[in-house]
Amino acid sequence: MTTMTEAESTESRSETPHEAPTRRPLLEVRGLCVDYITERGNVRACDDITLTLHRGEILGIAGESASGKSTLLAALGRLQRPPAVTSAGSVLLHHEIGSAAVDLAQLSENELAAYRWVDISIVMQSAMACLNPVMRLGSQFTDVIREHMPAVGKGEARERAAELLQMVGIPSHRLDAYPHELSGGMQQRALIALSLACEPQLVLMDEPTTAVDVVMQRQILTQILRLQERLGFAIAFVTHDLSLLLEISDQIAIMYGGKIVEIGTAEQLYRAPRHPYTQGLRQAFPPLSEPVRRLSGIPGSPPDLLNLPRGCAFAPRCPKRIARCDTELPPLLEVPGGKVACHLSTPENPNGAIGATAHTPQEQEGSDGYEVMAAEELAHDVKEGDAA
Amino acid sequence: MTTRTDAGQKPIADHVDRTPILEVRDLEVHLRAPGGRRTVRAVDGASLALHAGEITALVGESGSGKTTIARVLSLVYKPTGGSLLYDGKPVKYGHRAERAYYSNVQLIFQDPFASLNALKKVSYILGRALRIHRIASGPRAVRAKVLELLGLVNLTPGESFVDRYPTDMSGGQRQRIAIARSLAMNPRVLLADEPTSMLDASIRIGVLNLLDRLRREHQLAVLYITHDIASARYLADRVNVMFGGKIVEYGDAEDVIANPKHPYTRQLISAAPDPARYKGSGHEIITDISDASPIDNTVEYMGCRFAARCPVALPKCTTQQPPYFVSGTRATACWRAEDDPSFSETTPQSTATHSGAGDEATPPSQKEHVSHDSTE
Ligand SMILES: Nc1ncnc2c1ncn2[C@@H]1O[C@H](COP(=O)(O)OP(=O)(O)O)[C@@H](O)[C@H]1O
Ligand SMILES: Nc1ncnc2c1ncn2[C@@H]1O[C@H](COP(=O)(O)OP(=O)(O)O)[C@@H](O)[C@H]1O
Ligand code: SF4
Ligand code: SF4
Ligand SMILES: [Mg+2]
Ligand SMILES: [Mg+2]
Repeated sequence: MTTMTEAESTESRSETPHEAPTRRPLLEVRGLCVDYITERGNVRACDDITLTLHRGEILGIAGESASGKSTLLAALGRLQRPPAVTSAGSVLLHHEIGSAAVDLAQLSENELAAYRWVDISIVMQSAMACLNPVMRLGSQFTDVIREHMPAVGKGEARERAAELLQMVGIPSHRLDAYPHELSGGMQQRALIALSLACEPQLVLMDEPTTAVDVVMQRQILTQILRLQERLGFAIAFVTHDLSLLLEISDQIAIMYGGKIVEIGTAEQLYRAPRHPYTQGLRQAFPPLSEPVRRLSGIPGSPPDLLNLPRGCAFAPRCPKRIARCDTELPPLLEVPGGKVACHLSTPENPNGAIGATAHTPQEQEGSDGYEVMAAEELAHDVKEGDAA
Repeated sequence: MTTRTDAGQKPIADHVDRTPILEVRDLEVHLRAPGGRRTVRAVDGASLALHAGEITALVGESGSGKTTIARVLSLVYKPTGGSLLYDGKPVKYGHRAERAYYSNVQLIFQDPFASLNALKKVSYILGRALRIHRIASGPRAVRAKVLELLGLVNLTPGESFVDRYPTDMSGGQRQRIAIARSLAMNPRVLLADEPTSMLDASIRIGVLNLLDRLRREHQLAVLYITHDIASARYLADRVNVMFGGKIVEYGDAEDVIANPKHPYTRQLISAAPDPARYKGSGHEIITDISDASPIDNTVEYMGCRFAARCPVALPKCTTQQPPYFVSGTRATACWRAEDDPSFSETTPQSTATHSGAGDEATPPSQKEHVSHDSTE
């Protein structure tokens, strides 16, 4: 695996120059593989994932359904359950600045318990599935706090719970409410507050706003960002909504068929996405403030993880594929401002896939014409926001 | 009214003096809350018109009444007030009349998984619709027409789809089959209630482009219901913004979205994710939404129903219902438009032809699904 070593050796220098020197790694993932052991065979839902999440930053993870986003997110905190197994790689947690990192992938369930809630917590899409329906909200908070922070007394735990709820806009008298007595949006915010109960350094969020309305989503996102500013935790945020990730993320990982195919800053992915799949995703969301142009989305279907193409997994849908794509797997290579796994992008010519000519995609399903976004088109001026 | 010249290429249909194909006027749908004694004012005074060759969007948060309007338009609910007009005439109910109506007005469901029979091949699903509506008979003619329908929805070559089951197709392909089925009887109107919300983002645009092509090539009138205002801008000519059972703003899509007048429309737009506001762009959004909760639609409002959430409410907003203030082809139901010289107040719409239906709408249990199957 030459690529991994390459990526590893350059990781410490990978930071682009404009970034603040205080950027410190919190979680370093190296060559992580997660398999689901099923009757049909081993489903490799995360394949050779390498990435670094820095303290206090937001890592966005995007991709279509079944691309492995939730699997990766759970694996970041070693929160996955059978039939999922971590079959290779390491997840290094630098839980204290300066001290040695622990490899979560090597820990037993018992050892992991020490890091849950206190260092890493998770927020899922369905709040009701995570909150205990027969327990008042306040007790759920105090239970978690008292279990993981034994030094905190009962009264103090309750005060902390009230404070956390207030921070997400829920009045403290709601501590006595049962989860079903809260609206969907409130449940979701309560769950976010709960995830922060033990002051974790990393909060894993799996589509936390997908089930709520856009106005509610904005309210929740604003609160998350405000809490993050105040408490300084890092977030790994999974969603299929790339537009949303562009707004909130420092770094975005694009997943396809269980692999990361591109990582970059929000600006890089907005202005000049390098992987043809990322380009397709950017083409999939109609703009709100920029001029409307005809979009094409990505014709075709995602790959079957049990029957991946030999070469690039995106090849059957890729409008820019070349002969090599069908036989050779493109490695994830370091390029300025990120990484990309495409034969057309090389460190010497990182934007090789941006100008490339598009052919007709192999699969015709739903193809309403595949138009290619040129770099110049992507770099058009951003219209002044007019939201009041 | 702004005309689009961009790649969206939408002609703004000139419908000023054309009769809409389908229209609701001052629609009211009051439903009995399940188990309760309270009346849910699902729709509380909404007018909407669908024209041939035009896509009309209905946007708003969940619970605002969008699906209820679609259910009235597909005869699942009878209005408790206001009227439903087809070609300018009040719609008749009853088996025969409804069957004729459904050959012209078709509903596309949100969930292509639930709306197609998973045990039947595509050839059967489409062939059945053709036979029921007597569009084609005899195996040859039916097969030819099935292939034609598949071509219409870009499932080509059709031969490779006819023998497949919905279960071995992607969500986007299934939604195309559902659309093909609704097109079987050459309808004039398609009602699409969040047709892409269950689909992956990468294939949503394909379905929207298909709807766009169909209305262009077949002069279909399309109602596009969504909570995604950016997709409404992409697809629709006209947009109606709904809040709490009322249409609070309407007009040319580009105009309303570029220059929203109603505070709710503004909130909806500023809340929507916008890639142009990417982190580091200098245009990051800072919206403070203190209250995003839906209104209680079991009570009657004297004033504006958005008042509790409105950042610019006036004292009279809680006591007096705002009328529509109109400017050209757009209108907003907000007191703030009163001082806007380009808007003028309308006299309250003449409460046109009330249907005289009962106090409560027909319970959904009687006719839950409108599809070909229900017209058999
Ligand atoms: N419990 C499970 N058993 C077997 N396969 C699973 C299980 N959970 C997920 N998978 C498979 O793993 C892949 C990735 O799933 P997931 O991580 O949930 O993707 P995403 O969150 O991107 O939709 C999919 O192919 C899915 O079918
Ligand atoms: N059959 C019904 N009985 C009682 N209330 C209903 C019924 N159908 C819808 N409602 C209520 O009517 C309101 C509007 O619902 P709906 O039209 O589904 O909104 P939308 O489609 O905009 O989300 C909601 O408050 C909903 O709970
Ligand atoms: S050009 Fe080749 S390697 Fe690059 S995304 Fe397309 S198929 Fe994959
Ligand atoms: S009428 Fe008043 S409360 Fe209603 S939207 Fe306008 S300003 Fe706000
Ligand atoms: Mg998931
Ligand atoms: Mg609805």
